[in-house]
Amino acid sequence: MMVNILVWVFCLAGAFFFLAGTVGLLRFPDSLSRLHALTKADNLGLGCVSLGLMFSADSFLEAAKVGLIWILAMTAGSTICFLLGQAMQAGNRRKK
Amino acid sequence: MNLIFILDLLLITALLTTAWRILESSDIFQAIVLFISFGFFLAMVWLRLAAPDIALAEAAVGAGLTGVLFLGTFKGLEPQSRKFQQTDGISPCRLDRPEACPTRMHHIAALVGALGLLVILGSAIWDLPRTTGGLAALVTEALRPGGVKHPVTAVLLDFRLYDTWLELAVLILALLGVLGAGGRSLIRQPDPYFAQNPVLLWLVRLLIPVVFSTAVYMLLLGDHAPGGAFQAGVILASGLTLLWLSGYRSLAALPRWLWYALVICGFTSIEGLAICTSWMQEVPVLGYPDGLVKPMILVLESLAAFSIGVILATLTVETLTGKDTTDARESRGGT
Repeated sequence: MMVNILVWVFCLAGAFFFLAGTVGLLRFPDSLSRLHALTKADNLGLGCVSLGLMFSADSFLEAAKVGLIWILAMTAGSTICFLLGQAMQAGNRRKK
Repeated sequence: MNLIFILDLLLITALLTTAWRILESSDIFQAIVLFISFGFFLAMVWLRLAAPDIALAEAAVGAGLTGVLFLGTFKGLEPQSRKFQQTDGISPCRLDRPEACPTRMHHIAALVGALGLLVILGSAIWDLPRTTGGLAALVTEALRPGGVKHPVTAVLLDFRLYDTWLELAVLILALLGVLGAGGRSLIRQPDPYFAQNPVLLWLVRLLIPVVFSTAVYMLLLGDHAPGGAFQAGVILASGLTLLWLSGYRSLAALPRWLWYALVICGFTSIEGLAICTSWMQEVPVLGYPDGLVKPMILVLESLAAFSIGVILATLTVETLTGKDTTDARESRGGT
């Protein structure tokens, strides 16, 4: 029962962050703040959802797989965000 | 009405909407991005239809690899031909030149053709035997005791090895086609794509061992679960491409004869099996001798995975650099 509540809380929190991130991506004025909204969805949203799914996993191995996916997605996401930001800065500098 | 039904409805709506948007978009780049998301929605639909093998292949090849190839081709297009020409503001014309735009006759011919195809496909579906489960029971029955346990792998590498063999030939032909279109007679490795970047290098050092061990895991998983040569090959290709994109030499670090050997090893090993089995009386052509089913499948599958990975990585690199290495380098003054 307790575990079920935890699963629901974390998954709903993750869904909220994804929603907020998507709204930010669509509504924010410039690329850097859009990137900020997107990485929030990636880190916190995916983090909460995978934490919730880890609670509902049948075995330790299953939970570990979900955790590994989260870590990989987080490192890849933040690196890509950094590269995009750098490319944007280089583009801005070229414009000036 | 339960939650999973709502998910299905959302998936179908997303699939149809993206498909329509691909056809409607007047910008090629937008169409490519939409095509990639269409591929991922399609993969999720396959997953909902309980076909994880097809879902994996669709996500890896349909969305991932085809998307990269499209992006590479897009990069090679002339800037002025990237936007579709607008004709009269009603429907965008999909071809470069206005005189090549479809007229009313083309539309009628397309409508007649589509209706004809619909009738043929409809009658084919009508004629299907009304049984559930399809060939699954037949395949499960035919699984050999010493062979693989996953029915899809058994079909690909035991019952229908001929098809897999020719698929590998198709991949080699595709690579030859790309090389020919680029006017090249040799595979060669162009300069790395990006300057080396410390953050990217850190990620690559973390990811490459994970990518290659996942490829091996996928290959071995094909024995009893969704996985196998194609999935492992695509993961291997993505690892090799990632290495090259982040500034390593990747495949160019190999001697050229080894590179060529890796490209053809999947095809030639099955060809070798075909030649050997056609001399043997007790084994059918392209079959396996009793007792050797599983080890031989594993060997052929590993070689096929190497071939697929190397061919796809070479294809991606060749497409991404396509024009840049020949024309652009000359215009930059031979640097």
